[in-house]
Amino acid sequence: MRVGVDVTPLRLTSAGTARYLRNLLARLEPEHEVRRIAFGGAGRASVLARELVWYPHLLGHVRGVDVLHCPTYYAPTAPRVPLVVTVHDLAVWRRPEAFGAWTRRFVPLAVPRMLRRASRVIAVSEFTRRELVELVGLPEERIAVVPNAVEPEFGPEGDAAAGEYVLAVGTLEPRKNLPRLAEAARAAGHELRVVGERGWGDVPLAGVTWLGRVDDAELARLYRGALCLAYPSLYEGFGIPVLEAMACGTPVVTSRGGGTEEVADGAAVLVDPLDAESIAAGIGEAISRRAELREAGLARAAQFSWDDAARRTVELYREVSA
Amino acid sequence: MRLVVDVAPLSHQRTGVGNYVRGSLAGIAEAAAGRHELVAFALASPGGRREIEAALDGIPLERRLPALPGAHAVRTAWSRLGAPPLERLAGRLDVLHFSDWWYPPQRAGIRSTMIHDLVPLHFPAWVHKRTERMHGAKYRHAARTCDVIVVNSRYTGDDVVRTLGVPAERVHVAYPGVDAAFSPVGPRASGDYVLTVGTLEPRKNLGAAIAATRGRELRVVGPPGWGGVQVEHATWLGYRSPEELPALYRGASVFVFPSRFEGFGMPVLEAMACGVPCVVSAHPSLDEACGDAAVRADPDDADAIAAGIEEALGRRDELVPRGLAHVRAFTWRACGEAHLRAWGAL
Repeated sequence: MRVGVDVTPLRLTSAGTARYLRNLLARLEPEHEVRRIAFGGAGRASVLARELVWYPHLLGHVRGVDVLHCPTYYAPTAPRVPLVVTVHDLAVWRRPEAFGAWTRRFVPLAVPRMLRRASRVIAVSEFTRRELVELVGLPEERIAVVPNAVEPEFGPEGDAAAGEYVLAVGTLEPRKNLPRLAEAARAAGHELRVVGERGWGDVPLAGVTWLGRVDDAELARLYRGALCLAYPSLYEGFGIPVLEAMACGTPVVTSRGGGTEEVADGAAVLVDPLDAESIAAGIGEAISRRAELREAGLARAAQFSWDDAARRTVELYREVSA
Repeated sequence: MRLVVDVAPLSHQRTGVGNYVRGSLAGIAEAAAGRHELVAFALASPGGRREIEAALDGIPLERRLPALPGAHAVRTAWSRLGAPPLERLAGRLDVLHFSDWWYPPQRAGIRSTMIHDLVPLHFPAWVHKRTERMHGAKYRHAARTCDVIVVNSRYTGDDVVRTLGVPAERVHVAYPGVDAAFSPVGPRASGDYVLTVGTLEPRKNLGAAIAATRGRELRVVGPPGWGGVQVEHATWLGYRSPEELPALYRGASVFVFPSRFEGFGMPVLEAMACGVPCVVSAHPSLDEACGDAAVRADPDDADAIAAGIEEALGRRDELVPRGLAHVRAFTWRACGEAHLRAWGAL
C-alpha cells in the first residue's frame, strides 16, 4: 500500500505526537510504500503559512498514494485521496486558556471542517472518541480507537537514577500544571525533577530541578529511580508518561477524569489537578502504596503495544483505500 | 467488414463512459466472432495510451493507437478542420464508430457515433466547461452527419430524436451489460454501511445521499471531481477499480443512487447484480436501469430517500431476487450485437 504521512510534527516536538509518529513509521516503512510529507518549521511565519495554506489547501493535492494519514488534527479540507486523521486530544476546546491566542481561535474554527472530510478518524483513547462526538459532532462509525503504547526501553529492569525525588514529565506549557505540582511537591517535602522541553507560556521553574530534554534511556533511569511520577495535567487525551512510568514499575499520581484516568485504569492514584493539597496527598499515598501500585501498573502497561497500534492503523487504511 | 472503433475515453481512469466503451468493444468482438476485422483506434497522449492498452487487455482486436502529446487539442483541431480523413491513420474502413470526444472526418463507410447522454446541452451547469465545449459541438455535428447514432437507453434515444432532430430510424439503443465479476458470490467488505458510487460532481447529488443516511455509515466510492463537491459526514473511499468494486457492493446493506440525471445509470445494474437492494432517484432517465427492481425516491427530498432506504431494508428478500432477474437481460454480448445490427453487420 502507498501511504502518504504528514511528518511535520517530527520537526516541531519530541513529545507525544512525535513518539506516536516515530513508532508508527518504524512499523509501516518496512512493509508499505510510505511517502513522508512535511512543511516548514516552528517559526511564526512558517506556522501561519502551514495552518492557513499548506494543511487546508496544498496538502490535499497529494497524489500517487492510496491513503493520506495526518497524525495530528490538521488535515486538508479537499483531499484527493481518502484521508485518515489521528486526534490526540481536544484540549483547545476544553482548556482554551492553556493555549495561545492564535491556536485558541483558529483550531475550533478550522479543525472540525478538516475532520469532517476524513474517511476515518483515529482517537488515541475512548475519552478522545467521546470528546470528538460531543465537541465536533463526528459520527461514531467513522471513529476508531487506537491507543498509544511505550517503547521497549521502558521496563522495570535496569539502572535507576540516584536520589529521592518526585518526577514530572511533559513539555513546559500551561496545560501541564507545573506550578501547582511544584507547590504540592514542596508541601510533601520532596525534590521535584522535571523532564521536558520548553514549550510556550511563562512556566516558572523556581524550586524544581529542570533537566530539560533527555533521551529515552535516561528517561527510563529517571522513572525507575523516582518515588513516583506526578502527572496532574489539566487535560490529556491519553498521557503517554503515565504508561511509561507504569511500564517502569513506578507508582503514578495523575489527574482524575479524561485520558489519564482511562490509561491508568485503577493502577494509579487519582487526584484533583486544580487542588495542590490533593496532589500533595496523592504523592504521599503513591509512595506508601508503592509495591501494590507497581504490580498493578506493570500489568496495565503490558496491555499496550505499538505493534498492535500499527496493525490496527493499517487495517483502517485498508478499510478506506485500495 | 473493417470496423474502426474510437476508444479515446479509455485513456482516463475508468468510470461509466470508459466501462461502456470497454464492455461494448468486448461484446462487439464476441458477437462478430471473427467475421469482421475489429480495430481499436485512439489519438492519445503517451500516458493515456498506456491506460488504453491496459483497458483493452484480453479483447481480440487490432490496435491503432498513435501516441502524441496534446492529443486533446489535436482531436479538436482535426474535427474542426474536417481533413485529412481518418483513413490516413486508421487505414481503410467500412464503419467508423467514434466516441463523444470528437468528430473525425472520414472518406467512406458508415459513419456512426455514441451518445451517452445530452447532459451538456440540457444542464451546462452540471458539466465541466471543457466537456460543455467539446460535447456541445460534437452532438450537433453528429446529428447532421452520422448514419448511425448508438445510445445506451431508450430515454437517451428519445432525447436525441427530440433535442437534436435526428430521424428516429438512425438512432439505435445498445444497453450496457454487467461484467461477470458483479455477482452475489465472492468476498465482501466488512462493516454495516450504505453505499453510493459516483464521481464527486454536482449531478450525482451526493448531498442528498449524505442527508438521507444520518445515523448510518455512508461509504462513497468515486474519483475526486469538480464543482467543489467534497465528501463530508461520510466515508469517502476514493476511486476504486472495477476489480475492487464487487466486494464493496456485496458488503453494502443498501445501494443508494440519488443522481439527478443519467444516460443510463450502470452502477444500479452492478449493485443489483451483486445482490444489493437499491434506492434510486425517481428521475425518468433511470427507469430502464431500475426496471421494477428498485425503490425509487425523489432525488431532491432527503426524507423520501431516507424512507426509501428503510423500505429497501425491509423488502430486501423481495428486491434482491428481482434485481438479479432484471440484470440478467443486460450482457455485453447483447450490447455488441446491437452495435453490429445498427451497422448491418450482424
